[in-house]
Amino acid sequence: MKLTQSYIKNYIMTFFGGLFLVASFNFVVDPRKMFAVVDIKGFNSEKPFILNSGLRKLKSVEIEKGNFDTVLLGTSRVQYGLSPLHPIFGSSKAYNAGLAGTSIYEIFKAFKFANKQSNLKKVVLGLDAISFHSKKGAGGDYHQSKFSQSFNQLNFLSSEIFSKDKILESFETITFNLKNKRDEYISSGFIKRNDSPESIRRELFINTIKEFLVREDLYPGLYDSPQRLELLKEIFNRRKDDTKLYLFISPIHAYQLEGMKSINRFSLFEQWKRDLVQIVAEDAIANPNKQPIVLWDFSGYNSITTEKIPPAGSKKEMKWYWESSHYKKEVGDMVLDVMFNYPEKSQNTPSDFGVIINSNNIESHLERIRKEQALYKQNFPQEVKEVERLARETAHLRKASKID
Amino acid sequence: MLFNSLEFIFLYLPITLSIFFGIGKFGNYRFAIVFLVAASLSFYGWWNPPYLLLLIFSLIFNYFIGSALSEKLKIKLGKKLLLTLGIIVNLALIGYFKYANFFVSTVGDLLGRNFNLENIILPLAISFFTFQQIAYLVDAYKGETKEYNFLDYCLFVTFFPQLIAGPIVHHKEVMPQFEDKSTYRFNPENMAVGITIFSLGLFKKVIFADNIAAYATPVFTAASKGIEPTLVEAWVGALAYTLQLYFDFSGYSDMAIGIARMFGIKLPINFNSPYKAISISDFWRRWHITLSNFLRDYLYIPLGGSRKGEIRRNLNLLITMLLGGLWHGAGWTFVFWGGLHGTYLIINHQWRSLRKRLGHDLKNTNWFDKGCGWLLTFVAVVIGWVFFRAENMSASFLILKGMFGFNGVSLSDLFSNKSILWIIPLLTIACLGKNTQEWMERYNPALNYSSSNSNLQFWKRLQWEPNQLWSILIATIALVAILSLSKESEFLYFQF
Repeated sequence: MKLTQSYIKNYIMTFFGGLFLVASFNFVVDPRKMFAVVDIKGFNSEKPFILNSGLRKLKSVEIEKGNFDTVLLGTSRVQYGLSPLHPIFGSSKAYNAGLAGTSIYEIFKAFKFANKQSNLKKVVLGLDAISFHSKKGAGGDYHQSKFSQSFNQLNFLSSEIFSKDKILESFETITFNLKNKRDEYISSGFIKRNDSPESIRRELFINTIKEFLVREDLYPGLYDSPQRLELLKEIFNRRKDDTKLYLFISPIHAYQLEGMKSINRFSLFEQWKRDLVQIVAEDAIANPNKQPIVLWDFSGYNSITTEKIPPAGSKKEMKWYWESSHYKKEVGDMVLDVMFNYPEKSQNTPSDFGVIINSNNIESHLERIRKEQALYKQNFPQEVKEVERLARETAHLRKASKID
Repeated sequence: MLFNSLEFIFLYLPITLSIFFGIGKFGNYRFAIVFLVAASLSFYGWWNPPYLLLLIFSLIFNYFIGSALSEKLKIKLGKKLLLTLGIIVNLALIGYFKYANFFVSTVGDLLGRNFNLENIILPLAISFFTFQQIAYLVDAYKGETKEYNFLDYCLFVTFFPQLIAGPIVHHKEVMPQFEDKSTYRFNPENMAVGITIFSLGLFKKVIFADNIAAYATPVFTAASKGIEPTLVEAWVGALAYTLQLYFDFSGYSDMAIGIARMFGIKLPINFNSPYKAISISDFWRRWHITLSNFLRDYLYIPLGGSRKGEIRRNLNLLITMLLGGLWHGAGWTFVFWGGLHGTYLIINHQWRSLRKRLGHDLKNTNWFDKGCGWLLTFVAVVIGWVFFRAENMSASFLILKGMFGFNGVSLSDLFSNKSILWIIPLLTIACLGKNTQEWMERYNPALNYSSSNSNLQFWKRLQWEPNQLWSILIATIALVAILSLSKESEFLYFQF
């Protein structure tokens, strides 16, 4: 009797003692910034593992705690491009809730969560046609995040502190900090991308467009159905009366548009824009008490998106782009300037960058882009040929997945 | 709820134990049983509440038929008719929920059409509680059941440690334990033995099975897509699955046995180092023992067993194993697996008869015979598991082709060096190591376990005892398992 009693006592002490030690260690080092209680320079303030996480969990936790009045929503373009520290936000608290590899479903859920958590005054939503693919759902660590209804506090604690994997991450986080290295996660959801100085831009452009030409959820299946617009409408309907919603279509590089064209998806991209314009118009009628929505189009062939791509082999950095699909913060700053200063014009922004589109001008706007597309072919024939060649070379991969 | 979930380990189990012994302390045993039944039903309902109704219906129906069969309840129907009705209703339920789609799609295939019922969700545990209750009805018919009251009967069927995945418990094994008043008083020895067996089971499941699964799954997934694994890859996949299944299932059984023991209930042993078997019938005496016993007592023997001559015996074996295969899952791969084991058993019996006729003394075997027997048995079992695991017959044959070297020997991306680092140690543990019951031998770890009576002093000193060293070791094992429950899924970079 005595023996077994002390056995149980020892077992419980060892077990819970060990659990407590592990939990405290992971809590203090906090490799994924989930608790943000201890922050010591040279010990744990840089978090090298954050970017591997998918970021849904972290962003949901930060939104819950932050009481923000402005959120920036969208895909990785927003995540890398729009700074919540932009002076335009002034004293308001802004958070970048952009998510990589996301869909309008996740964007809707992130909006819903943020809308519930705080009193949102401004919502900026960057739109990409690829996130409207009918089968694109949740990605990354979405299901462990507070955006998801399957969120479970016990599993959250288990994965963040009662976890063997986290012990290893905590140790590596400390070594990373001891070596005085810097990570890319800044704060408020924004990621400062730093490509290696050895990067060759043209290679990045080519690799990116190839992926877009092959993957079913990118260009081959572009805007395969209008059904996901319903989720965008839900965002419209759920916004509070005094919330101002800024919508914009991402300024992707002209190279991307050529990619769509090369596999006959450009007209779908245009149709998507028409449908966006229509639901915005419908919203004005359906929600007369809410702040009207303005839809901006930054895509097309303007002086930013047609930036010259350095020749093969060159390590020269581009002014506006990381690669064809992701613009730099400088472009994001201009996007915010244009939208927030309207109707005033920003001095440092080219006048052809950003057009408000609505039911009155959509057709003439699309027509103009088509003309500019022809012009781009004249001015940059090599780029257009290169994209067409890549489309031909990847044709068999599209066929293999029965898309074309 | 799963045993290897945090909700279960940190909330459900401690709360249920405390309340149960809290009630027991005041001597109110009936109330303690009511509580345990309610707790077990909520354990079941956690997963899919509507199916709780199915379980409750099954309970009431079978108790009613059982009472009529044991003449506790007077009904004007013949006993044989009652038993037939009882068995038909049980089989109809499991037939609908588990096999309807399989049957309909097979008929469709035969007619060259595509038939499919809408998605029927398989009620958890239905295979187990159906068998347990059929056994009860048959025994009631034979007059072998005592006059159990409804409450005890409910606990016998729903007692949560064994409800989901066995061990398949026989009423004679547990009902008397429920009637024993000492069960309801907290007993530190039971608790110490219980947490130890549970910890070992959890470790087997979370560390051994879940880690080695990573080397089995890709091979079987690839084969289902028509990719042909080469020699080494096919063996890695098959062996990894062989180990995964054993550590997963026996780990789960250990957890069940351990939890029940915390409540003072001993469950029957379910695994006894099956991969040490030196013949296929030896294997079936060691693998999923409670199922083998059930199939033997309620299918093989009623079919006539070995009493009606050699040919009938072989036929009975084959039928038993085919149905046993089908019990594991609704699919041709399971039927084939059952048939394969039936054939193995027939060959085994014929071989034994032949040796007897040749005048060999079967009890007197040397190490060489044993070694050959072990190797042959093990390979035969591994081949069986390929069918058991593969998505369909063609995937099974692709892997077998690979195992016999027909897909070449070069290695591709399917192969990982790390797999060997898992397979060899786990294979050693499964084939040479001592199992949970052996470690715990001195404390009656499970029912029906006959101890090895080893007189080796050295081994006796190694065995588990409730001392400080063991408590630290076992707590550490449990801690490692708990800390490994959550796995961070890597998020692939470069997405849009």
